Amino acid sequence: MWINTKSFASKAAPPAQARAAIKAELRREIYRLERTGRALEKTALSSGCRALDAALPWQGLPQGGLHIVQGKPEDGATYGFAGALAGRMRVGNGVIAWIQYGRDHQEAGVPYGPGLGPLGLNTRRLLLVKARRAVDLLWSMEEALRCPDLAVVIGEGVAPNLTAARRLQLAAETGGTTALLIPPPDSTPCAPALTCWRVTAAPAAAATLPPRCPAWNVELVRCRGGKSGQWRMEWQHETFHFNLVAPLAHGPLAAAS
Amino acid sequence: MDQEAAATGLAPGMPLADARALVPHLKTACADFSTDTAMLASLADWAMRYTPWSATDGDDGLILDVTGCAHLFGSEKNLLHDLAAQLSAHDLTARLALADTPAAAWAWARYGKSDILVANADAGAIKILPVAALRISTNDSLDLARLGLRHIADLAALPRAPLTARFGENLLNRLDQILGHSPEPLTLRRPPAPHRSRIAFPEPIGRREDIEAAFHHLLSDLCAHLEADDLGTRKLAYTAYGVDATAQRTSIGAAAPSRDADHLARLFQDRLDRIDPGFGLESFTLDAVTIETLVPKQIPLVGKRNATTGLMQLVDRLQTRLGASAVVELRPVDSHIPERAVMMTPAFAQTGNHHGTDDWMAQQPRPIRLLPCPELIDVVAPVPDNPPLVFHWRKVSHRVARSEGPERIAPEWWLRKENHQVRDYYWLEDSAGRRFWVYRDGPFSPGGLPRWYLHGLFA
Repeated sequence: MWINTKSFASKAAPPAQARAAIKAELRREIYRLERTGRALEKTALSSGCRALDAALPWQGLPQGGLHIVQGKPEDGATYGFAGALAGRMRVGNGVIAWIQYGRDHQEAGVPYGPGLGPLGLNTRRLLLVKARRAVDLLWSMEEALRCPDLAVVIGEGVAPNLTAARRLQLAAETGGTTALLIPPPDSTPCAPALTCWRVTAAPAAAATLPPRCPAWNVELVRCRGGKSGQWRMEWQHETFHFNLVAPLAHGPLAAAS
Repeated sequence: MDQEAAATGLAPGMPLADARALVPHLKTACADFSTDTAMLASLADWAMRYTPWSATDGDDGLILDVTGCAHLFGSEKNLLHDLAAQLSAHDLTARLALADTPAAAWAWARYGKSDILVANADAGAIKILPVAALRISTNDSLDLARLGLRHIADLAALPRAPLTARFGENLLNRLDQILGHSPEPLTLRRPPAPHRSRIAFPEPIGRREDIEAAFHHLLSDLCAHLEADDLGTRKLAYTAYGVDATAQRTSIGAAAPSRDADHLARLFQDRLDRIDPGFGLESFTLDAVTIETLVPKQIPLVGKRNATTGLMQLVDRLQTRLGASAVVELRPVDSHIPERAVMMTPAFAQTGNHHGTDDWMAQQPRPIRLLPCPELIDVVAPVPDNPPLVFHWRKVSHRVARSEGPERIAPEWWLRKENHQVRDYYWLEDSAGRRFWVYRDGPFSPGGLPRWYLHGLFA
């Protein structure tokens, strides 16, 4: 790798602002040289939350890569956050494929049409796929990711090994599609993903009584080329964007009552 | 019944005691009709190497319509000799007849003098057969014999009206069929495909690469024919004929008519592994079982390509590997019952009977996950109509922090039965912030303990 260092060397210590700009420029150059730099060729999509966008090195949610969303067992928050991410990353009228194990249907439930609309998912542009074995699930994810006519592919219930995860990442790069993986709750995937999130449910804000605006504790566990972080976020079901929630002064409502 | 058995004097339908008296060392076994039927069916499949029009006939017969096929074997006689040689090579005793009408062939195969006949019905050969060859009941043929009418020729010479009056229409109908005066449609085992290509090898093949090469050859041939006729196929069947008279058929379906050889070949990728070469395969056919008009479309030079085609091809690949019911779309149904409000239909399937609006009926919040079977939970709830305070689900206790409800959903009146009750749905948030959808089955009744179920998970 050859980077033009001469121009920097000739100057004496640049001011802090310029130094930051140079760093950002260098970082972007390195991304471009790396294979995952392809993610930069497509514009990153804004999450609708400024703090979240700023924390990600792509200034938004990058397309054409693998993202992992971890959660607790029997928690709707995991699927809610993954669905909301998919809703944000769906460009135009793109189709979303949701791939699930057949055996998980009773355990984790099946995606329910009337409830998906508020997450920004158009159920008329949604394919549900049921796989019987892990091999079939990963194969269908790869096939779907290679199809450029899809926007997002969500796979759940499987913890791929390094090779399988790398294949998913490559397939996503080839098709320019986004892969969202929800591994089983007790697994620790160490996949070459662009981002890795951990989601738990959070008590909804006091003002919203019916479950229309779900709140989540979102932790960015790992991010390629970025820092980890933690936020409490709320999903706006009318405008389809994430909001930061300010913590309540006296702790959550549940603890107070 | 083979020739050796026939020589000892045995005959089909003979009582066991008589047979034992004739042949004391006779070995007996129970008849296995289902295996016989399966064997006959596989023989009918195998016979499709001669003609696509193949059908089973009764318990022990095959009918092949070789119209337009005989010249491929040189002549009708050659075809029959080839068939006889193939059957005897497999230790099958057969009587073969080739005639102008199915009825005549049937009659000669069972009542003719020689084993093989290639004859016209008019030639008189048929007319010397006994009347039983007309496929009439035993009683009728006995009655005819009593009247001195032993041969078909005797019947054909008589005036028709008295015969009909005495024996009914069936007899004359059978007579007309054997003489070719009235048609006799065949019930085919597999309707012949509108487009088919076939390849045969002088030596049997068995390697996977060869099977694949044969497939690609047939596919490009078929696709060229389809393109010439502006057609596309939705169902393709690949049949491999083995040297041991077996036929292995594997087929794929497509969501949209296609004649894209690359796409169709990818659908067959796994299927070709399932073909067992056995002792070797000697010929292959590829049938376009269902075809539809597919007019070529102009591909835009600039701008976006057609997204639906790529998507449909993806759905085809997924459905071929996982099954048609494994790739579904969600369709709204006009129903307030949560589990009935969604219908899962195979993706891109044309459902003509889809009724209802294009949008979901529910205005109230709905969970993002629905459990296919609601799960019974233990609940502590104040009576009569309050939401739960604590509930146990899957061995975990949840303390309810906030709740909302009830939303009462009544069963549709036309479904009212014992197990359909009014449900009161509540949205619950536990102390950790998880959100659930639970319902009480039936209204509160003093004395009775209401049953509570968990039905869904909110985001």
